[in-house]
Amino acid sequence: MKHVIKTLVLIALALQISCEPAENPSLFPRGEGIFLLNEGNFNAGNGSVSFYSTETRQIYNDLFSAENKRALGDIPSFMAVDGNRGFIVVNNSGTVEAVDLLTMESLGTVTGLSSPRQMVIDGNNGYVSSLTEDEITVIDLEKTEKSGKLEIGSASEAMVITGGRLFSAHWSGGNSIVVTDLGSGDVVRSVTVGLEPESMALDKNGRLWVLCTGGWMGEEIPRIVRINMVTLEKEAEFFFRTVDDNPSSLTLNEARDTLFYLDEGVRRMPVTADEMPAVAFIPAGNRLFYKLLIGSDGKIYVTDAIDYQQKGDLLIYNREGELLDSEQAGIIPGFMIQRVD
Amino acid sequence: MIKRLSAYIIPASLRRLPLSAVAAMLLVLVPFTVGAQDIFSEDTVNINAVTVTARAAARVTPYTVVEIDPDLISRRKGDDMATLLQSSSLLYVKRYGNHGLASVSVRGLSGSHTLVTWNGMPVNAPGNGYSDFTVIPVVAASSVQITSGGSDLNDLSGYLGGKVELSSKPLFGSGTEASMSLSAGSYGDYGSSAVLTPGGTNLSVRAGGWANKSRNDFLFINRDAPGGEALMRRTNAAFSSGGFTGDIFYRTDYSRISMHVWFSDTERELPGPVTTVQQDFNERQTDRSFRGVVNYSLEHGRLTADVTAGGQCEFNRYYHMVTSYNGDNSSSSAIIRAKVALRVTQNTSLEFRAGDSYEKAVTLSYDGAEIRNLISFSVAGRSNPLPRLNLLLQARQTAVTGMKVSPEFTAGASWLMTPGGEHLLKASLSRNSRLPCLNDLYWIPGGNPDLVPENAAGGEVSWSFLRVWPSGSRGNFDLTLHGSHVNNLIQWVPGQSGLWQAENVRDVNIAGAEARVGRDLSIRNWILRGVFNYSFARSVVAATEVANDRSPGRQLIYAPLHHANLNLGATGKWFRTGLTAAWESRRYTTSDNSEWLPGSLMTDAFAGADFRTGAAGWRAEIAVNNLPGLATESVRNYPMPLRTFKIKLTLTWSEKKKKDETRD
Repeated sequence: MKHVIKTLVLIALALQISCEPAENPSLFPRGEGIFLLNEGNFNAGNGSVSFYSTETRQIYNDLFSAENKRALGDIPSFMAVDGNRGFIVVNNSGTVEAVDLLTMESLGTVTGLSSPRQMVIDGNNGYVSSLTEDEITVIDLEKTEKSGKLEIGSASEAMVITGGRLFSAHWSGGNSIVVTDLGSGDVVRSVTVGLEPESMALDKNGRLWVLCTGGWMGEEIPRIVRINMVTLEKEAEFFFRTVDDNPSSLTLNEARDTLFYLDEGVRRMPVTADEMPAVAFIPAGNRLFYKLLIGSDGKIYVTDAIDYQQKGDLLIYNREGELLDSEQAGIIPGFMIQRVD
Repeated sequence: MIKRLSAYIIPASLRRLPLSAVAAMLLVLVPFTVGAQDIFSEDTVNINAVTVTARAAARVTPYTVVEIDPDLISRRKGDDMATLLQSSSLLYVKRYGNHGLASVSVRGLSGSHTLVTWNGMPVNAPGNGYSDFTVIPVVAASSVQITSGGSDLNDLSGYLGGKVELSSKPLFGSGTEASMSLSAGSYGDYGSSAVLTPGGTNLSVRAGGWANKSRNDFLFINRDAPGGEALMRRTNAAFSSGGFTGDIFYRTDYSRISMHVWFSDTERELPGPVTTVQQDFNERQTDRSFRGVVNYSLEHGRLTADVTAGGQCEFNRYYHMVTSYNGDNSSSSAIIRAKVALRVTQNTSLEFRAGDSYEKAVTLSYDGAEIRNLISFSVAGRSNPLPRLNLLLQARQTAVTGMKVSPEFTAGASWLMTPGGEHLLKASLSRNSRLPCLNDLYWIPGGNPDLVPENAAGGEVSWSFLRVWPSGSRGNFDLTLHGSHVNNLIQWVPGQSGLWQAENVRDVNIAGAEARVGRDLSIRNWILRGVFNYSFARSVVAATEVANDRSPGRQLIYAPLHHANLNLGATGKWFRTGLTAAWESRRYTTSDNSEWLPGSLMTDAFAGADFRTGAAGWRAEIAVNNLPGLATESVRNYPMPLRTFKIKLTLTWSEKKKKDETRD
């Protein structure tokens, strides 16, 4: 009888040991890489997060839903980063998801936002632009909740904070950059640029570059406008070829001395240039380039949304424009941001 | 991965239910049909005679034509047409939630490939090519006939997928009848309808009206809610609808004239998708339409002739919390069509059809009003070279504003294999086309005036078994195999600018099988009826012009591979009950088939009692929809209600019953 009991105890112990949960393996590696937001289909709620590791040269998809066992939402359009926390703006769900960038675990959700588009961070405050409201929502990053508003008098898209001032682009139907003093919360200036300023970048000389699409109906020739941040005046304008051009995704390299943007491929232009490049540095060919990021190592990351109804591709080029890698991402791969170790 | 696996929605035990149901039905029904012995009724055999029943005519047509059982129409009179078709046909209904926009598609294509006619006049919206079956109440038509595939060239233009014909049938000699129904259901659902059918030997009138209202704030389960799975209440989903129809038929010895009017006024809130959170943009929509049709038909000697003229106008308003998104659409159309058929010999006839269609649509997204005129001519030869063999050869040529359309052909044959007509084989081959809708051509931005019509070439083969017993009970089994290739499918795809535009970008191969089993039984005072329908439709992209496209070889989105439904009914002396189950397999929501909605099962049941006193009678019914209370979606993130209830009272008055009782 004793042997039987001993045997049962041993079996039970063995089972206990074998049933102990293994440490939850990470869904994606630590180290340098690119976070990629896949917008998903409009109204389908199937937006997702991918991570491309520049070390393993692999892409890891569907991270948010795998970690949190629920969907991220409809059209994740932007992510702002504050240390190891990311704040994912989910446009058509009207939410901002705070996530741990090492695990993609949800740290909290800000709900009830009206068509949020992008977010910039200053201290403990996050500023969220809106496609539909004439105000910018202020979020307390620690509490992950709305803490205030900035009345700016127009809808907003891309934003830049510098010198205690918030520059917000009035994109949808607009043609201005609204300058708001973050101390007082007052609008101090509105700078007229071209129609529908879509993206902005601040160069190493402290000048703000604004890409204006010319309107989604092709109302005017698109242009890139350079703004002097001291005088808050336009100091240069670079016009594209015709109203049928569709440039987008203006960004800068790590040194902030060269502009990159999408226009029938990837084009680049030194901030000191007097004219725009005549040809694409990386031609799109039959690809449908959607979003663009320049990595700190000079690599060029471009997304291809294919037909917008299936999983798209992440394309990685070296600084010479040679294709290094191609990975299948999620549906409508869009905004990208780099994680530097 | 946000794949919505069926296991995620439906418990394992219930997932097995559809297959079990299929097996059970086949076991129950097939032995009846193959084991029974009896004669075939004369009225359905006599196909060469001038007076052929509609059901028999549909059966010997060389392609698939099915009439919805009038008993099922009667059972669903308080519902919309989308609900009727989902539960009793092989059409796939894509519905944006309860009372939301609903389109129907046939054999793996989209709702815009389904022609919808009302008393012979097309009612698809000229703008987007769709018909919204939510705003069509079942009470608006007394007959629903479905043609699968695009082989039928009797209309002015083609449609590739299939056709739904709604029509009103005269009731000559039935005396005056009247009925009025009142219903109340879950979530503030109230309905009322009334039908009056005065008529004599040569005059038949049918006047009907309805008014429905629903708060529609039903409960649903949001599995993606930020705080975890949550039971939520739908908001901004109210629905109201009202309208009337009127039909007048008058016949003489050789001719018949009929006039039809239909007015419909619908207002509904448009709930947003449930994408982690339930969105609410205060969207709502109003649809108002007025339609009228006049038909004259003549049958004299060897000649038959038919002329139909009609017109319709529709007004659609869309409202959004951001007023710049508001929409204002209107459209109108008019048709005139004529058919002349001449019996050349005892066994051969020729049919000539010609017609003109005028379409006009106005939206804020057009550069003014867009107008299209279409002229069509077709000729058909029908012959019975052998007593039980029917042949059909038909060709149609269409001329349309700003576009070339290739000639269309259909050739088919049906052969009654047995003298009694129990077994029938039929086959058809066809080449047909579908025109782009006005939005495809002229919508700004993205409309493409250079689009060419979509073309399809294909065919089908069917075996049909039908037996009618002396007691009047029936059994039938139909099996159809079909296949087609669609060229130049029009889809909206993004261009370099990111703006979507209409393009002829893909070719599609469609192959499938359909089965229909039906059985009526009379046992003592009970009439038992069972109908089972099943379809398999593989509808895959064969070629594409989209760069790096991963869709070739994949099923088209929102085209379920399998679709089945089962209708069981039992009618006693005063008691009636029934059960309906409709199942659809997974529906892909992305073109590379990486995501899908799980299979869905909708099971409804009802029970009612009939009482009659002289000419007057009343019926009380209770219905339970979605009996198991399963979470289902027809369109991603537009949930349908969990279990709902409805009670209905119907009062009837019949002059004929009164006379019968007086005579007794």
